[in-house]
Amino acid sequence: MTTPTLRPGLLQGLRVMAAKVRGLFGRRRRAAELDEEIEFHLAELVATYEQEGLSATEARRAAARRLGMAERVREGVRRERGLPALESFLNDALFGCRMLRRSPLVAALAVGSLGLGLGASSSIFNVIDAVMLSWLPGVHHADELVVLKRREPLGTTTIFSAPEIAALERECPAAAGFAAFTRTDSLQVRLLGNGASGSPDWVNSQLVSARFFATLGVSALEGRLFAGADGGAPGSDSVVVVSDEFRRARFGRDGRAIGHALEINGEPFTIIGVTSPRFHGVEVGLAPSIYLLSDAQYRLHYQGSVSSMNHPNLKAPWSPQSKISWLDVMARLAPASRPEVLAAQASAVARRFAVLNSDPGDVDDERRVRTLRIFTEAGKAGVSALRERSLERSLLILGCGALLLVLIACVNTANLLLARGTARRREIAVRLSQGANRWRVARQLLTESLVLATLGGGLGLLLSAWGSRLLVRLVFGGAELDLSLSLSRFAFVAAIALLTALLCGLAPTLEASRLSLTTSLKEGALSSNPSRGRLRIPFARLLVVTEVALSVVLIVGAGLFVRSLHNLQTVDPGYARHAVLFASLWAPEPAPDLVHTTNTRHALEERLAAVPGVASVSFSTNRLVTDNHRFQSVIVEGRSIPSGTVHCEVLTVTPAFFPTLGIHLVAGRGFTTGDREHGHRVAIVNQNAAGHMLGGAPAVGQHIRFGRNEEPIEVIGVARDVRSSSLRELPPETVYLPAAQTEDMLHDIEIRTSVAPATMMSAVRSVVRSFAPGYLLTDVVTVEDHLDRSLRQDQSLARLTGFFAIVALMLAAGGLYGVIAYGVARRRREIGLRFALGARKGQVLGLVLRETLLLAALGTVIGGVAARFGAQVASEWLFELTPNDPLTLVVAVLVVLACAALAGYAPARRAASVQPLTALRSE
Amino acid sequence: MAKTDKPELLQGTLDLLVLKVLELGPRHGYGIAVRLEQISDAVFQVNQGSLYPALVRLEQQGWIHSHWGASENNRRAKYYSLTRSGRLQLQAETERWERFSGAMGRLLSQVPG
Repeated sequence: MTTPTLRPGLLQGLRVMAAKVRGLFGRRRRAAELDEEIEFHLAELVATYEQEGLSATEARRAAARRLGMAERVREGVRRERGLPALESFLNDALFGCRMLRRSPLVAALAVGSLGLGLGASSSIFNVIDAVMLSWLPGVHHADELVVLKRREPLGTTTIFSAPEIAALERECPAAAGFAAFTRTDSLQVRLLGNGASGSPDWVNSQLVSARFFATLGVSALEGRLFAGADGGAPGSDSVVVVSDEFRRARFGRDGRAIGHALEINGEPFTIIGVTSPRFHGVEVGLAPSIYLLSDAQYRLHYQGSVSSMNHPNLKAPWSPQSKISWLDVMARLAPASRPEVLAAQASAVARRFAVLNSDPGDVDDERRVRTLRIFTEAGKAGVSALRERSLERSLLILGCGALLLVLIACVNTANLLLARGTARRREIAVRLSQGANRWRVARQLLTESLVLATLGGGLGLLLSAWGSRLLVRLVFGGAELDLSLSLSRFAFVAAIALLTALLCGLAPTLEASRLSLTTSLKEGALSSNPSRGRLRIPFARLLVVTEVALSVVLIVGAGLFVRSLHNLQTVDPGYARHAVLFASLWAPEPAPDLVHTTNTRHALEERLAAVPGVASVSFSTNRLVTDNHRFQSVIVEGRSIPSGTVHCEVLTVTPAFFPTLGIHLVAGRGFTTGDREHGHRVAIVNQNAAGHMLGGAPAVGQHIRFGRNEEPIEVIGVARDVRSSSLRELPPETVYLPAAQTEDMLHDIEIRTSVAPATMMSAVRSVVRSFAPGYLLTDVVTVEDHLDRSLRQDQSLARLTGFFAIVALMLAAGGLYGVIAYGVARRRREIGLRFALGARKGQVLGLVLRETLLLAALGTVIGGVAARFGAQVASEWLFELTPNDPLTLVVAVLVVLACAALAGYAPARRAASVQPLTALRSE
Repeated sequence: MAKTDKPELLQGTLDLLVLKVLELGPRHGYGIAVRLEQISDAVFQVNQGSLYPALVRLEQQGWIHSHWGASENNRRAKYYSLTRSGRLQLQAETERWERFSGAMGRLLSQVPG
């Protein structure tokens, strides 16, 4: 039923609102006026009752009944006058702040630990957000973009050939456009013309298709970007678009870039446009400075990651060749189209090309065609090498660690609040007795923890600005990520802080709501024995046990990572871990051929080997433990392998490679200078390849081929399996080829030294410089440092979880100390009595310590069980270590118990030094 | 005071009654309470304490306004009086009540069937 009330219109509503907002101010004056009004009302009532013949006392009592409780009237008016929810919240918050100011140490500890936990988790969230969740900036409707991927029998690849992409553009109506690009690579760039500095620079660059910018909807800041018509047009291989950052760095804030000439890898190019400053490329963490058309591949001698089918000509321009896949592809979906439709259309195109390029009758090729399928993934966040599974995993683990830390900080704060809540029992009881409802009191306590959490959240935000940068440096070794605060990142911190507030406030609030009025008031009146109610003790102890348990989990986690890292650092990789120097050699453009003419290489090899302190020198296509790999299918003569061929990693090396790195041959012979260009073709395989291809038969003397129509190659030796691709894994099947018999560019140098390798760096550099002008040595590093660098993620995991564990341990110890110290203070009288009855100091000391250790032991047991389950998350990460590693668990338990004993020692000492007389008299 | 058999005031009606009381001239809070009881005590139980929030509410709406003055026995008291828009509001609300209660009365007095 609706009752006819006084219904205000909109204007009326605004007017009331304004009055209410005004009501928030001048409260004190208004309150005084209201008091006066109530007083007047009461006086009038009293006078009336007295006239009716009641006595003064009776009249006053009747008047109070008539009007109702003064406090209730005030509350009613207050509610009507202002905005009660906001007002009481502000009141509570102000009150909370005052309470915190009164105990600054408690506040600082709580805010500090919460801030640390929140800072750590939001740093990790920022990085996850930047790498995986954020939309590409500067791109039009990024949510319409998809990344095309190709599923083949050998795995998933992302690269396509240029003719294939042209066919996709023609034959896929489900896409509004395609953007093809190479992964970002660094090219040597020199600025030409007036005012240009002469020195070349390595600059991030990307080769893109003509429709790249149009498909992404990137706008130009200056000049024009590539257009569809640029593809294949005359001169298309000599124009570039640069990023706004590059423009600013080279030409100044207001400088114009277009028309300027650049020399890239020795070839002249002209800048035709600058991209919008918001656009940072499609590869997260790597912002290219220079965009070139894919037609420029040949002029640049660009040789990025490539996957090829059946005898492609890698020396000829790649753009017209359908056998060379080298471009990543993103597509913009046509309006009202669906990714599945596009995937089906693209699959048809890709299959046609696969048929075109396959050898008739080749089992492997046929299977490839049959199973080939294109699928799409959301492209709004771009593509990223940072999005590897292992990195995701490490971020996940760190995220778990940070959340555990937040949890421990919460528990710690809850404990602090609880301790203070006990001190405030009387205050709360008084408020309850005056008619304040329990919800109101609970809200007060929650608001206080909200104040703490807000401060902690603020601190966390500040810390995360720095922490996320640190994290990127530690985990990714630096990447250009947008780590600035965004709405979602702020929301994350806010949400966690809010949750934190609830968690922190829960225990004290629950306790307050269980508070029994009479006992609290009575206790308060006695005030010497503040906690006869047994409530606080189990609560506080429960929290401390939780804290200990959580820190055990963190310590076990950290211990596992530290041990795993140690295992990695000491594993025998099968090659020398010391006394070897790695370097990459870059020949001056345009004379790259120099590096792989055998004669030049020989000459340089001899010069380097002649340096005092150098024992031997070798060249290879790739250094060990790197991301660059070349795989090729290998057929074994006269043998049928179930899959038809074996996919092998191929490494071309000079004869000194094996002795320089200390890789042993288990059978046959190594390469010699006798294995010449036109001589009998030879290869060395590793044990893994020998086992796989030859099934236990002696490998030496067998013949292998790369492709059906290629020359047969004799296996002359078997090399030991070495951890060549990473320290973690056993190597893939590997075929080593002698440098003299291939035309591969051998960019990497291995130098064995008879002295500490780091001391040889400058000598080696100067030899290369004097060998030929323009030759450049990059990435000169000792093998130890190189391997260490490959363990960056393991190191950062061990370091960060270790840091979390130490903080957790400190917080748990603090919590334990607090509870025990409080217990001792409470039991002074009892302890005094014990002394009076003849207890010895040692007994009292033991009593307190036993209690501490009991709590810690309980926490440890719970934590140990939890860690067993929690460690499964990390199991994939651990190297030669099971997640249930007993040593780690035992050490963690001992560390926690030792810390607990330390935390309990001070209060125990205090208990042992209680003077029975003073203690007994103090009550 | 028998409390049980007197219905509480319907929500919102207190506001209307206060306006009605003030139609006759300015009064202080106690005066309004006394007058309210006189005109309604037979039917409603008015909680004097709830008068003050209602006064705040009406003042916020701009229907009444208050000033300090001297009471009959020369004490300082806060007087409330009807504003022009309050007078209009009273008129409108009275008409609405009459329509409503008339309709309710007719409805409830109908013989079923």
